[in-house]
Amino acid sequence: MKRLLWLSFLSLLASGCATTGDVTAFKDANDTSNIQESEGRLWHEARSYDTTIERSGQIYEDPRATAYLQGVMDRLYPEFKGKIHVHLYDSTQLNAFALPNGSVYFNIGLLARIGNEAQLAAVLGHEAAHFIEKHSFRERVSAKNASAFAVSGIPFASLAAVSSITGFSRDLEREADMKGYARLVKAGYDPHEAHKAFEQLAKEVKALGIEEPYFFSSHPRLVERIDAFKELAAKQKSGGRVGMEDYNRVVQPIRLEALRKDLGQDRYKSVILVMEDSNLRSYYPAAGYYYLGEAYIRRDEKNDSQKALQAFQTAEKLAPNFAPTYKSLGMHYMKAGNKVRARESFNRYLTLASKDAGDRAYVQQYISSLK
Amino acid sequence: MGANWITGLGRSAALSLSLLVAVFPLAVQAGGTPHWVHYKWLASNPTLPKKVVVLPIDIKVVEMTAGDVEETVPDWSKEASRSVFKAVSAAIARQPGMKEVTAPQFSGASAANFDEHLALYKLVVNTAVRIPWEHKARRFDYGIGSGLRAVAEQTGADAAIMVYGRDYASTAGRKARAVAGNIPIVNIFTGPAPKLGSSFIRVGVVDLRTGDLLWVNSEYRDGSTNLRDPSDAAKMVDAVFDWYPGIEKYRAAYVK
Amino acid sequence: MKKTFVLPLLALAGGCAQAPYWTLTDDANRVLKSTSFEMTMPAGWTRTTTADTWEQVKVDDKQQTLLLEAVTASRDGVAIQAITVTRRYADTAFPTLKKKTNANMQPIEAADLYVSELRKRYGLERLRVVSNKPTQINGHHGFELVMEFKNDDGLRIRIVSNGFVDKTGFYTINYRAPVLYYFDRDYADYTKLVRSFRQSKGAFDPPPEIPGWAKLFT
Repeated sequence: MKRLLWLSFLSLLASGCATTGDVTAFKDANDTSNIQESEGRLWHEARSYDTTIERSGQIYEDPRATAYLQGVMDRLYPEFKGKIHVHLYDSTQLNAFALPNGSVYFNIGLLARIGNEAQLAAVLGHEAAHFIEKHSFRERVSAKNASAFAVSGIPFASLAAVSSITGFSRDLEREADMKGYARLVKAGYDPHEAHKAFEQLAKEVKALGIEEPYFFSSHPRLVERIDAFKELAAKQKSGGRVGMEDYNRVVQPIRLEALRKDLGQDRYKSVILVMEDSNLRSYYPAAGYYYLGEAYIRRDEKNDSQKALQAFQTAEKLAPNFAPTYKSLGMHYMKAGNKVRARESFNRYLTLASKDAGDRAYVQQYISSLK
Repeated sequence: MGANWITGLGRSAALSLSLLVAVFPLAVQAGGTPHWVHYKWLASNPTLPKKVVVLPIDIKVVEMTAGDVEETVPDWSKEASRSVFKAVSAAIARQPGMKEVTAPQFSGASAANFDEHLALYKLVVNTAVRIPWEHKARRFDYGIGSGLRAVAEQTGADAAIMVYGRDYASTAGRKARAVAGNIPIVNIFTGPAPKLGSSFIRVGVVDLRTGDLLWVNSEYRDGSTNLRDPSDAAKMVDAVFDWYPGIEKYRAAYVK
Repeated sequence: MKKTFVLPLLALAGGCAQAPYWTLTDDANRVLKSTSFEMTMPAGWTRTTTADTWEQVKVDDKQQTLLLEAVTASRDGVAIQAITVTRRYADTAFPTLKKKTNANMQPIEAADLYVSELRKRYGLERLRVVSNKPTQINGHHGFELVMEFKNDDGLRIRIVSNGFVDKTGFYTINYRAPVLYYFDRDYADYTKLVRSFRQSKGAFDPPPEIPGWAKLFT
């Protein structure tokens, strides 16, 4: 009797425990209509998350860039056209993530960092693989199974824990890498570009001492993945679409915006890292030197004041119509006691800046005080 | 200032909320009421709403597993919203002089406007029912502004009834763990008993022309209440409306 | 009960009597005087009886207890709307940015740092600056920032911050409320409070010690 009671209890605890072996990948767009009830719950949560992101103004509105990214995704996964939706996410963190319902969010910070369409395709291919292989559902099933018997009952409540927002387990990330890579090659992209997206991330993660998982930097580690991609690429011939010009045409304005937002988030180290690297800097408009100057001011280490001035002067030379440069030059000259140059710079700012430019009133005040 | 003045939950707010935990039971013991009545209704001969519209009800049903995984169940949520809606309609029908009119369909700009007003309503109602300041109870004057006036014009309604709630349901496994968690020695292996389900609903009556929150009441239950079940939903809704409009009771409790 | 127990208990009970944390502003107590500043509170608002003198801030994932002087007021509950008047000391003016103020800091610089501090501290990357203008606060050159963000439910929240820097530190007078209905309704109360703000002589005294018991939270 006691044994029967114990078995009944165990079976109750375990009731509803599916296994991850029962989970099969989507075959095509039509297949996404055939989901189990428990999968449907995850989709519902994902839709709520989509609504929250949209409602709270976290989508980065750039129809041209969004359409471009969607185009690349549809080239990678033509049989899922209409089911995987790409959105730009208004964050300068180096991340991209997929939700269980096929929504893929690409941070503008990451978009600004990578170099061309082939690298973009490597990341998009990876994220879409998470959706197609149902990694979120597999993680949710694992979580339920693991925690049913856990004494401490660690909660896995939020959707973030089972989406690629913070990264999946090592094995699932590897699977997404492999599947995404295969799509990259099939779609005709140069496979030798895939590891370069990760190389830049690895550099930045190391230089800035970032410990947070930045675009699956922790599962598995970026260096391991770079090696894995290089190994795969070594078996392939060079050649294939790189798409640098198309990519830069679309992403150029976003890059400057990403620098501005990085500064606004106090991520001045990232701005300096990017703009001091001659390779990376070549992707950015010349006005990026203004943000470099502001980043040096924010860092405020020895000689940074001089470095900032040089950066502003470079911005003045290469992007002479970029108004904010003159405001910063004016501030520098004003603090140095050079009233004439300060007034000149401030007046130039007023000429170039729009009538509703935020700093106009300050600059007008400074000009009055310099008379 | 504590942290988080930007989101409204700073140390001062946390402290005031913790004070509420002490204050609220005392208030009830002292002859307080669970409902709140706008000060305009405390004037002699208040005009109670005659035509009301029940705006889209937001009830979420969340299933909790043995291992504390929480999942919103969309079909159950719809079912619970329907049950609560029926119960609210029945409660309205029992109010003398009150009639329900059909709610409009919101789309496009009107949907966005409604969504933002619903967001404000939740913030206001959650704050108002927990405020520990006696003077706010004596002169309850919360509102959401007149941005839903168009609903009055479309439907002829004087007021809107706005309802939102949550129903936390336990799986069989969680219930088994709760039983085992109360058995000495066995609970070394299963862990302590997890909290089982609970439900709450918050019902507000809002003047559509002024946005005044005329009346609000909440009902909370531990245990096995199931808002999908029409009779359970009716019990909770009826418990809420038992205090409608409750003007004299409110005056006796708070207005000295 | 023996006397030896009663007397210490009575002493304890007496020591436990405290002023309430919140005070309703009426005609008898409109002027709030704190160590570093005083101002006229709007009637009908509830404010902290005395200023908070420390806060907890996470800097590089470590919780730190920092000195400040802050008064909070609200009409309907701080979750709906709040006015906060804060003085931060120069060395810990922007704690998550690890930046200090100095007497020569320009208002535009302080405003820029303040926005970055708010974004970083509250994880509000989406906090948007609507306007940033120079202003005068009690004879000091300062800034007036208007910012907005949407919460997760899509409710627009607006924040106005008037601030200035001097040798004693960084002062801000902030007003936060939903754009819908509440912001406009109470904005005049906020602007009157800003106009009434006066820095006190106590602002120039050496900073106090953080109470020992507060450090236990770190």
